[in-house]
Amino acid sequence: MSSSVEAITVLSSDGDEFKITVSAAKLSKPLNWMLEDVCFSDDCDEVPTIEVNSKTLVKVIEYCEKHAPRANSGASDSDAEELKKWDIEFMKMDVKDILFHILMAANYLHMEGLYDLACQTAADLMKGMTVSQIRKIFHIKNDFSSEEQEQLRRQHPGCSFD
Amino acid sequence: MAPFLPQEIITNILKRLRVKSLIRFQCICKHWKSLINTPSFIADHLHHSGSHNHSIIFHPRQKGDRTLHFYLLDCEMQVREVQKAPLMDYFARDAAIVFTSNGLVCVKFDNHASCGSPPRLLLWNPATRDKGLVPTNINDFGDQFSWNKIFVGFGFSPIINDYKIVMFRFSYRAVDWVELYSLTSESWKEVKCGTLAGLMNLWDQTVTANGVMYWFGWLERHGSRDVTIVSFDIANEVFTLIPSPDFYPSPYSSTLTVHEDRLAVLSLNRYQSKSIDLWVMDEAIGSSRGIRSWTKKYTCVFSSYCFVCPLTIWRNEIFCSGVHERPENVRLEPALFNLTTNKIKLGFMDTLCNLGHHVAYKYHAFNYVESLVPIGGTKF
Repeated sequence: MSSSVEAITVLSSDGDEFKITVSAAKLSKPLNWMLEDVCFSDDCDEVPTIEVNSKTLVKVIEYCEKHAPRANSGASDSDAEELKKWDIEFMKMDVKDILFHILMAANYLHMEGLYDLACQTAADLMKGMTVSQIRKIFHIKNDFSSEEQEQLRRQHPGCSFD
Repeated sequence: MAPFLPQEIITNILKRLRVKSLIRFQCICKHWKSLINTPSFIADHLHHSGSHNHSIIFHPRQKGDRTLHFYLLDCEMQVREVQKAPLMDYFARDAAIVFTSNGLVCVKFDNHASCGSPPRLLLWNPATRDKGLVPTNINDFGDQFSWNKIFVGFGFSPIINDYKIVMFRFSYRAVDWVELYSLTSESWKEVKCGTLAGLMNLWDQTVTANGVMYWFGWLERHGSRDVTIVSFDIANEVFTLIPSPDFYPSPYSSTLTVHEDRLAVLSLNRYQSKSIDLWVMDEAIGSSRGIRSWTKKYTCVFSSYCFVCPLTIWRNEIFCSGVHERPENVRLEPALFNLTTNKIKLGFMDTLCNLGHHVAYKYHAFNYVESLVPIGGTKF
């Protein structure tokens, strides 16, 4: 592998080009494989495509670049504390708009840290949501008959279908 | 528009939610309702809850038929009262928690029927509010003398994926009857207790870890009386006697607990009444063979206390109750002693007082994780 390569170029599913540093790409196994392919390939002009849209890929790369130094070298407790705060700020995003895309991307790119963080963020957001709000974001239809709803209400007083 | 999430991701999100939310989200659709109730999801959720939402359930010692209150100290160090099982109002005479396992709480209470009769047992999941009486055991111990003593244990074995309840009867200072209840089979059966010769008595308190139940007991052999530890392997249904550490044995100042997956003993120091020792057994819990030895891991000094009683270990804190010498007054309250910082955290009593609780001299405390685990059997 050529040691001079510091960043690789990838394409989003929308066809936009993005640069990602080698150390940041190491946070994802599939990205790392792509990186090795690019470095070992004779045809260096080939740009790999990542099945993630541009809006999401920007965020994923931002996460990777921030976490890369710690992931690659280890870090002190104060760094870990700072990174935690950064994660909280980073995750302040709209569920409909981007959080679910991040979840899909993190799962697809095998990024354990980001996947865990995004799942936890989604869970924390859901705590404060009503049943109908959740149905909306997950594209779910209420398929209970009125008898079944009545039965569930009896089992769990206070259950709401709205 | 948000994408459709695959089930794998939905499960990973849902397992992070509290039971309260999950019960609410059963109303989303049929698919979510069945997902939340599958054994594999319940296990995933329990596993996550076990590593993130560790808490303590505790109650003051109850005598007579005063209403029993249960309190929860959660992972954010908040104390709140647990909604009690409604039937506790009927039966709660001398009620006490036996043990908690995977979010299930086994409560025993006195049977009014006759002296010396076995206690009634209640299985309760405080998070789902699921509850049920355990069927009465085979031997009603009727027409027996009132000095018969009955002891109960409750626990889960991951090997057989079942919960069991053990009930001992001691008559004339010897075990004369042992019965076992399995949640899966929903029935009692008698078990052999031949290895327990010489065992005169047990202490009330019990712990279960990695599929093995433990009690302290008194053993009489060759004319001398020593403290011993009785273990019961839930999967193999075998009793074993284990030597105890070199500690000052007293049911009022010693307790069995679990520290870093090993059986541990918290006990008042033999020589210093304001110190608690933590002994850990040097053998992974669960193995039935091999030499066991005890190591004293910590000695915690409660200098501002005139009396202290250890209850359990929670994360790296010892949960205890004690009489604290405050400048303004002397009072008894539950406290936490941090093993890393050697600092005592006080003040739970203020919260308990606000909840209308009176000072008690003895507490029962158990490590608890909330779960969706069903109690099985007949519910009511």
